[in-house]
Amino acid sequence: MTGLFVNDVEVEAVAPPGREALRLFFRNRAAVFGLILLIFMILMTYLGPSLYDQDPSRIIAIPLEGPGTEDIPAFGTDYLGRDVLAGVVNGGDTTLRVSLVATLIMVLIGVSIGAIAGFYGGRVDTLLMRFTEVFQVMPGLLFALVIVTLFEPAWWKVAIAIGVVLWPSLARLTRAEFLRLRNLEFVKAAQAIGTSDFRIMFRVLLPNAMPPLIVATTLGMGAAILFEAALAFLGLGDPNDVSWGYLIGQNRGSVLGGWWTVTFPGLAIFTTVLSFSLIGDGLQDAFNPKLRGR
Amino acid sequence: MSAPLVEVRDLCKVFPVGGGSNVHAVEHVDFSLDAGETLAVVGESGCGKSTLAHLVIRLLEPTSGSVHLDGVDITSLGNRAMREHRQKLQIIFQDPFASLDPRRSVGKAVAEPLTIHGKGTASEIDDRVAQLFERVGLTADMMRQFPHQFSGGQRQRICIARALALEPQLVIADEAVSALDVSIQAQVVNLMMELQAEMGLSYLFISHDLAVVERVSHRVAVMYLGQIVEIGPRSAIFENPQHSYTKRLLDAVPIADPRARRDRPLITGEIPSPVWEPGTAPTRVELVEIAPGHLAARED
Amino acid sequence: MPNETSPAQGSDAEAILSVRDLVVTFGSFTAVNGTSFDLFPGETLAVVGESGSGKSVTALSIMRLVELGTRGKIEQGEILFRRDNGEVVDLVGLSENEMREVRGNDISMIFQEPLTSLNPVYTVGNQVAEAVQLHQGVDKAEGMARALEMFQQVRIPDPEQRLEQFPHEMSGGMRQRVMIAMALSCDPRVLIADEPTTALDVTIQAQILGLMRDLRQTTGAAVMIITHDMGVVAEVADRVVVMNQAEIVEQGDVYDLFENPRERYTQALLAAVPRLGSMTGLDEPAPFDLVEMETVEMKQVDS
Repeated sequence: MTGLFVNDVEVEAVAPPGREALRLFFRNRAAVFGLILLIFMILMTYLGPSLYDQDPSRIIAIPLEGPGTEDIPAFGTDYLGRDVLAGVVNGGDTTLRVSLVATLIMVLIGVSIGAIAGFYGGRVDTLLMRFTEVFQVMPGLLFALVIVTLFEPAWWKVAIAIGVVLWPSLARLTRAEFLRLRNLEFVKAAQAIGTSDFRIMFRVLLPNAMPPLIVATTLGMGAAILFEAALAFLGLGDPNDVSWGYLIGQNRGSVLGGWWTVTFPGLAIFTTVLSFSLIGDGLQDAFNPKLRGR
Repeated sequence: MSAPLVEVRDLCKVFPVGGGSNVHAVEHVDFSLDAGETLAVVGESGCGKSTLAHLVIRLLEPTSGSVHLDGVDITSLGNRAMREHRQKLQIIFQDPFASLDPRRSVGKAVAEPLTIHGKGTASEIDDRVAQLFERVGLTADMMRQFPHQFSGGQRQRICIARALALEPQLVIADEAVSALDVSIQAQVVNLMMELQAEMGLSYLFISHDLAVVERVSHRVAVMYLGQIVEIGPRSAIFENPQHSYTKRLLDAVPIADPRARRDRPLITGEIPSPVWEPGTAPTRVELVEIAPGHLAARED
Repeated sequence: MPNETSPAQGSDAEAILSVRDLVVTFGSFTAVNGTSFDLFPGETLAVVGESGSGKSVTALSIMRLVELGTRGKIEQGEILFRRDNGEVVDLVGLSENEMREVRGNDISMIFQEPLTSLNPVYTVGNQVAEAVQLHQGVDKAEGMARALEMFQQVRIPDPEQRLEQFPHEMSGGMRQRVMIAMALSCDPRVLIADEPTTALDVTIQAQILGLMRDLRQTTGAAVMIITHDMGVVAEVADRVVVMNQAEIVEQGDVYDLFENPRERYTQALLAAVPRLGSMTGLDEPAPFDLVEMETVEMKQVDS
């Protein structure tokens, strides 16, 4: 027996956590399907309008002609005789832009407040959590409605309203993760070399809290899309922007006479939200392989 | 000489770890243990000593090999027969905090094995538990208390009482005193020795602490990467170690005497990983008898 | 409390760190109750005790980390630190910002669990370089160069490659070497090691203890080692402080303390320590020859 002790001990041959998670993600069929759906929706939204160059607000034919009718676009016409396909193709931009910005606002507020509350604890924590609860107990949609109706509608105001409604749950999650992590020894070790609180929060703790936050953000994106659709449905979006929710809202009187006017924009919303849910669930499983099947 | 209480023959345990690689946790282990004897199994983390303990009590199924208890091969027993035999074997774990249910009184915890095996009426069991509490240095009135009301040392005493409830012949102590403070550790070790003298128990004493092992054991087995590289009477292992790993292990133990301070060579080096690539396996060491009962692996 | 504070170097040496009458509480619980001791330049002081003795809280108090995260509070006492220029400051009175300058730069600390004391998301080289950048105002490249130098000093094999590894790719022993490299990277004058070898295998422990002894000679830093293991104390300490139930029981020179323990608690503690070689010539196992003592355990029985 030679070399009882060696220097190059192989430690469990595991891939870095991030890469391992990616590998697991891509082995998850549902998650990959979600990713394909999302890519399709993004391509449709950003390449669609140039491939199918039709003005969604122009009246092109008689109202409520169904799909399959001769000389009528594939998705039929709406109650004013506008092209539904053009609406679906052009409506994605507003929906995605608003929900992306809303999600960014959610992350910004949620992570900052959760991080400070979780890291400092004590009175700061109590105060911030009370503040969070105030937002949490308010009926979200109603609150967003109030904000949007108070001001002239513009897409970014809608985004802010949605972000403000969605941040509390992310703040709670961030706080919980920080509470879990802050007593680990590497945090103590970072403090022991004189690292500032800000650095500890955002360079030491945050990267370690990323997995659940990424999952929550992905799922939050789906929620933001639903919110945007609801607000637009109620006519509270910018009337100059076509969006999927707006299309459904406009045609809500013609559901019985023209199912296609609401079904195709509805499908677009459904597909996008579903894609974020599948991706979120896939990420969850990839980051926590042990939780699988629960 | 009567037949040994425990005979372990060519015991192997291989864990597949994915990608065709295997952890050879226990490799061709042979030993026997007499009634009333303590065999200590020492080695560093990953050497397979805990896996060995779990194999002997059949918490794990071996990949191959056999464990005979009282002449019966327990690795081939069916569930019912194993249940009968399990009474003869008990195990005490390292963490007395984790091995007691926090929501049950400690009296119930100790009574549990008696109830399960139907050893007497409720009041008989109660008396027996009270007796066990007294025996391990606790008082009978503590029976109604809950685990969180006890310190680590007391909890380990409770675990010992529970292990003894069925009057086993073999008690496996898997790092049973490692988590305790030294003064408490010494008291628990002394208790275990008293119980051995009184009840004729055999101990399979799994430990990484050679100084404690020197106190408690009759014989010692040194494990390295799943295999026993040296086994023999305690005095032979500690005073006349043969294998270079045994020597290095003994050299590394800090001695609680500043006058015995030794120069530490500035070396690095650790035990290689027990993970074997697909298609590879460790070579089997060959034990050579150096003196009666003292075997050590041949080294090149 | 016996009063023996004579340093190994002779009483004229000036202490680099003097703890005076320190009281630390966690709510209504007093974790450290009026301890006083000195640490002299170049010496290794062991603070030894069983769980709950207050030894780790003492260490965290010196770093003023006891107030961060945990609910500890330094109620009273002074922690006097002598700076390079001879100026003596009371660490208890420093602001969090001033304290940050001291941590890692003047006083460093290593912890028990090498498995969890490194940040899993950064390479070990990055983490050591970060400590250097933080205090010495150097850029990333210089920080990495210093990290490499430190890796060589703590005898990490293949240091260049190791810089690029993540903590989970290293064994426990290697990680503890990285922690030591990080702690020593800014040439601190005091190194506090809280149970640095407790989580390690005995052969790795021997290597780390050997390394710490060697480093004390090459760096000249005073070392305060917190441990429960009398074997570790005997191996590395010049002087010993014995703590029990939040108070110092006895302190003195390591040889004196092992050969003539004055206090009953120290005697009991030493009697309970298993010593390799104490059974030479005996065939049968033998119980420990215990000295009766009132321990924390016994108190809990009453309550």
